[in-house]
Amino acid sequence: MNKNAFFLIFGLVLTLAVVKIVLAARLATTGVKLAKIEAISIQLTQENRILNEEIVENSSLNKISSEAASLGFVKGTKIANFALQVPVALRE
Amino acid sequence: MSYWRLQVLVIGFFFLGFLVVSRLFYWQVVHGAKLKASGESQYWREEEIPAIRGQILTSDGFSLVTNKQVYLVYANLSQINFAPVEIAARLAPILSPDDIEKEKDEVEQRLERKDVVWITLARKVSRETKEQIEKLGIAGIGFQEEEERFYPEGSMSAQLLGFVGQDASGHDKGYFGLEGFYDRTLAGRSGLLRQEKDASGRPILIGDTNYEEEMPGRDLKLYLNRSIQFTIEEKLKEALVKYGAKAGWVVVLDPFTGGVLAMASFPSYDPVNYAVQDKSLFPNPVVAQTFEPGSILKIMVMASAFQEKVVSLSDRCPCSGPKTIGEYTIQTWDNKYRSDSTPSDIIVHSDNVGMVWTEERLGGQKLVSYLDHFGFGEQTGIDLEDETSLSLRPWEKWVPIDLATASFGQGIAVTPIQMVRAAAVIANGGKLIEPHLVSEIQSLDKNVSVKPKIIRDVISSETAKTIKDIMVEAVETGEAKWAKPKGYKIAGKTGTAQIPIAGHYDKDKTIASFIGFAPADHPQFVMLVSLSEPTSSPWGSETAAPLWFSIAKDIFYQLKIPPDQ
Repeated sequence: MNKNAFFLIFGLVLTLAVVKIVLAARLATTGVKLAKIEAISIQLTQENRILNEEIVENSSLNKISSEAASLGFVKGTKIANFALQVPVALRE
Repeated sequence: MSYWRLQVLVIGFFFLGFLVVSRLFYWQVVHGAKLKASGESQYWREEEIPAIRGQILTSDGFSLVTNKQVYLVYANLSQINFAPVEIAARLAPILSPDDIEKEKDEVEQRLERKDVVWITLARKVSRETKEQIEKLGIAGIGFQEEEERFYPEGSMSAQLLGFVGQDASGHDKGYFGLEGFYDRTLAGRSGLLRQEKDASGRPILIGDTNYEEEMPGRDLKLYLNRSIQFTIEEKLKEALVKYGAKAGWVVVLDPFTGGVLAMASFPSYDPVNYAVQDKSLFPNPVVAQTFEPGSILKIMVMASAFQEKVVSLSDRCPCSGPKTIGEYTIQTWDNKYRSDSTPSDIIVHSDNVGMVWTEERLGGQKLVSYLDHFGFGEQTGIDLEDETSLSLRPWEKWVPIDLATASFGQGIAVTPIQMVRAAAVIANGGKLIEPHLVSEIQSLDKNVSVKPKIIRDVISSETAKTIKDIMVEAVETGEAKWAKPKGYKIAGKTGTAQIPIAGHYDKDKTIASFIGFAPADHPQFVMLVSLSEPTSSPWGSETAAPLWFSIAKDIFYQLKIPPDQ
C-alpha cells in the first residue's frame, strides 16, 4: 500500500468518525427535544380534553336553559311563519 | 481392567444417564409449562391498557354520554413521610367533605397496613380534588388516570341510555338501555403491555417489550333530536305535576325510517348514582312495560276492517244502545248512543259499541291476525336491552267478550313502542318498520350506517289515507279540539284505558293517552303520550291530548314545519 492510499483511508475513517460523533451529539440533543415535544403534546392533549369537557358541559341544554332563566330570558310565544314561495297573483 | 468390571462401569453410566434424562423429562415436559409460567412471572410484567369506552351522540353530534378523566388516589407506603393519622386528617376533608370523620378513619386504617406497599385511597376523584391534594405536597401520595362516564345533560334520557357498572371481575359493563344493548360495541378491547422487569419489578428499558394495542370503543350516533328530547322531558315533568299523574311516557318516532327522535319516561333515575337508586326504575317502561292501550287501539282495528273491505265510509252502525255479549254489557264512555253512526263517527266519538260492531264485521280470526300484523305480540327489534313483549294468544282461544273488548283496546297488553310503531303504519302509508335509536356506528377507520328496515306491508296506502282522514276529523271535532295548535293538520286519537287490578278494572285508575302524527299529509313525526293514573281528570282528552299538542307546537318550531292550513 502506498503512502497516499494510507492517508486517504485514514482521512476517510477520521472524517467518518468525526461525522459520527457530531451526528450522535446532535441525535442526543434531538432526543431531549423530542422528549420535550412529547411532553408538550401530552399536555396539550390533556388541555384539549379538559376544554372539550367544559365545552360539552357548558353547551348542554340543561345548562343553557338554567343560565337563560337566571339572566331573565323567557320562551318566545309569538312565532311568525313566512312562506318561501310568494304567489304570482292574489285572489281579491 | 477385567471384562466384568468394564461391563459394570458401562451399565452404571447408562443407569446414571437414564436418571439424568428421567429427571430432565420430569422438569421440562411434565412440569415444563408450570415452571415456564413461574419463571416468566418473575421477569415479565403485564399491564392491561383499558380501552376508552365509546360515546353516545345525538343526531347533531352532541355527546349525550362521554368520558371524563378522573383519578385513582394511591399511597406508596414506603415513601410517606408523615404519620398516617396526620395524612388522614389532611386528606379526609378533601376526599369526603360530607363525612370527614368516617373518611379519616378509613384512610388512616389503610395507611397503617403493613402487608402491602401500595394501597388505593380513593377512586374516581375529580381533577379539582386531585389538584387540592397535590397542593398538600405529601410525599408518597400519587395519582393514576381513570375514565368515568360523564353525562353533560345530567339525567336526561337516563332510562334510554342505561348506565355503566362493573361486572364480577371489576371491569366496566353496560347495563340496561343503549349501554346494555351495545355494551361490546361501546367497550372496545383492552390492550396489553408485556415488558421485562428487573428484580425490584422496574421495567428493563433495553429488554423485550410486547405491546398489544387497545382498540377504543365505537361511538353511537343516534336519531335522537336533542331539542325535542329536552322539550318532551321538560313538558312531561310539568304534566305529571299539573295532572297529578303517577307516571308517564312520551315517544316520538320518524314514521318512515323508524328512527326514535325522542323518548322519555318518568319517574326516572340518575345514571351517575345508579347504585343508590330504586332498581325498579332501571328498565325503560317504553319498551319493558305493557299496558292496556284503550281507545288509541281503535284506529288499528278500524284500519283492519277497511283493509278487509268489511266496512266503508258510508256504512251505518245501528249503535242505538249498549251491546250485550253473554253476561257482559258494553257501554259507551259517555253513555250516549248514536244510531246510524258512520265508521268516522265511531272513531270521532270513540264509540265502544260501534267498535264491537266493526269487530263483528271483521271477524275474530281476522282481528287477531291484523293485531299480529300490526306488530302486537312480537318484539319490535328496537336496539334497547330491556324490550319485552307478551305474545298474542291463538285466535281459537279468544272468547267473544275478549274479541269485543280488544276492539276498543281493553283486555290486550301492548308496550308503548309497539303502539307508536303501529301508528307509524298509518302515517307512512301502510308499512311496519323496525324502530331504531342508533343511526350510525362510528369508529376511527369507518362509519357504519344503520339502514331503516321495513318488516312488512300491513295495510294499503288507500286504507292508511282513509284512517288518516278519520283521525284528522277526530282531532278537528273531537273532545280535545280546544288544545290543537292552529294552522296545522294533525291526525290523532285519544284513549282512556282502565287499569286491571286483581282481576277487575279499577274505575278511578286510568292510563290516559293520545297518539297521532303531524303534519297529517306529510308526517314528520308520530308521537305517543301516556299518563298513568292522572288525578285531575281521568280522560285522555283532558290530560294526554293537551300535553301532546303542547309538545307538538314545539316540535313544529324545532323541525321548522310551517302551518299547512
